[in-house]
Amino acid sequence: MTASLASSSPAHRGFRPWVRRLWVLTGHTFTQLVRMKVFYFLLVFSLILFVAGFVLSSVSPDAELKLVKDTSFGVMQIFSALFGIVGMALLLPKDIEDRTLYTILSKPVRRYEYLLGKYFGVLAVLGVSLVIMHVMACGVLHLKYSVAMSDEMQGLEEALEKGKLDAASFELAKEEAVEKLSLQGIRPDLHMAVVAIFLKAAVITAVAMAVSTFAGSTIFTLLATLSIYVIGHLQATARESFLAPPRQPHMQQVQAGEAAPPAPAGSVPLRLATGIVAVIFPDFQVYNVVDAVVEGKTLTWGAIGKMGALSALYLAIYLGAAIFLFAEKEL
Amino acid sequence: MRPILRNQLCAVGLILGSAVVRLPVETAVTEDLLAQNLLPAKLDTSMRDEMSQETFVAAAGGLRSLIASYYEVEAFIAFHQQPSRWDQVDKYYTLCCQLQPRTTHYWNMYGWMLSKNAAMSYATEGEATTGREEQMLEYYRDKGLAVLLRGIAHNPDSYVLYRQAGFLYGELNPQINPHPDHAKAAALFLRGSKCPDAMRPPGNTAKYLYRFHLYELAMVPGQEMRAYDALLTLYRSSVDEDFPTTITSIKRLEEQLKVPIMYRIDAVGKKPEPYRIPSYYLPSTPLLPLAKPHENKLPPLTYGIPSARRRPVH
Repeated sequence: MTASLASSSPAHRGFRPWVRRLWVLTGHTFTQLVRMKVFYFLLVFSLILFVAGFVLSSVSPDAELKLVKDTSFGVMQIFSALFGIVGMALLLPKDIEDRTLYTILSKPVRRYEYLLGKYFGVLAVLGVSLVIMHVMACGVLHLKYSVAMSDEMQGLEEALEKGKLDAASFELAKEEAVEKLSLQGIRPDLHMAVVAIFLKAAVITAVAMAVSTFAGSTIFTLLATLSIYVIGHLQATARESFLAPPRQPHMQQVQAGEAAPPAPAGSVPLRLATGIVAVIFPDFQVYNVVDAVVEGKTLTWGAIGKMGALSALYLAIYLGAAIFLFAEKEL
Repeated sequence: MRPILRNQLCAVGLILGSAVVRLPVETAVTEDLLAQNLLPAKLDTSMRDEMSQETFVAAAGGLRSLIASYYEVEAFIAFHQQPSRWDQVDKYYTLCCQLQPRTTHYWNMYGWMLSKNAAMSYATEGEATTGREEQMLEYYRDKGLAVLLRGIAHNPDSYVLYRQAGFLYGELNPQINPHPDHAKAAALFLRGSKCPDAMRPPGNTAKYLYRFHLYELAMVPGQEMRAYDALLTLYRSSVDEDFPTTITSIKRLEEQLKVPIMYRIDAVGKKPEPYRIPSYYLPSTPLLPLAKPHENKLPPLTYGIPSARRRPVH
């Protein structure tokens, strides 16, 4: 890798060498993570998917399809968030410990290039993992959907033959079954939900990177970022409370010229606490569109675009903070 | 100032300063996604008593759908035990509905489990019942109905819960529902037929719910005339509209309203054009006006009789 970086040195101020260096660092991080056998997780994922798809049963065929989707998307969310956090918490200290960092930075590589290379390397592994998991989940879902649909049709045809249903009711029941099962089958919205999971993972990875640039230990980075991940899901509530207009005095009191009623005890500290949460932490609740998609609701490109724009803002903030913190860090 | 301190201050300044831009953007995106029903409702903190701490944190951490699905599996296991553990079914479905109040599936299954399965498990089919069995039957039936109505409040645009509640209100099995409320059932079916998901092409669900609205309306005292008029219009609107219940309901109403035999569907059959009953054949005080005053005139004398057998009506 150092040879590749060295080869890009003569014109490192230009655009292309900058991109090339970033590319090399990203590729190196990708290889480094693959060598850490992170893709073995996919075996665990396939086992979980098998249990959800073929072992557990629920009240109805559509509930079973929902179970497969919930499980696969839930595991994707957990995996992507954990991988982003753990990957970032481990990579920087490992590079310092192995002294790879010093070798890289002795080359004409800027510190922010190194950080971004690490970040994009982790994102590349995340992206590949999510795509593989999504393909596996779609495979199981398709298989399960085909079986459920054929069972449902067979049941309805038998009911028709036995005279339990008339022709019109048969058509209606068939239409309803197709609609219900199709809603829980593979739809384009599911692919967009994977994009939402990726965006959420990208933001938490950026936060983990910012934390790891000033953290003293891997454990601190892990615990701090996991806490931020949980707090981030409650940020919307804190923001709402923080941005709510202050309590207005009653009209009668205003008319009587009395002072505004005293604020309830604890409201100032509460406002301060919610303000801190709202200002510092990102809002992860925004990415929870996955639940709605699993239910069968339509996720528009507009919604994904807005989520993407917000994610870009988050990345600019947290990667920017990481770059500032790492720029003069004593290594 | 030391460069390291300066950079740390810059990082803190960036995070704090960016809040000026970030907070309005976050609020706008959240509002937009909420308007599209894409974000889950706020987590009900009262659930903390029912769930383990880990589960509650996982639910807060964006895994609500997954947890709700697994609670439904638990409810299914409790349902399959011999005898069924209705208290567990109730508990797990309550959690499912609290976690995902906008998922009609959970409300529908919860309402159905309580009002039909749990209530019927206490019905003894003609045998002597104990006070407790009757009490439990009544409790689960009423709770199932309350669940469905609460689900409707959370999901007013989905026909599924209107239909289920409509069936329950109009239920004719005295063990499940000793006091059927056909007026409420009719109103629920009508509301369901107007839901966007029922009206999706080809719109058969909306038609079917409207039909059920009329079946229920036909059983509401005082609404017979209105139901008869609408059922007749529906029956004659298409050759496919000859469902056994439609015909039975019309015939029952013909008896109740004392429609002359020559005007009954057995004699008249289907006519392609809309049909109005002459006002002098109606009961002395019609419950609802059949038509506007200028339309309320006698039909042609030959009405309803096939052309080959035309004869005057006296």
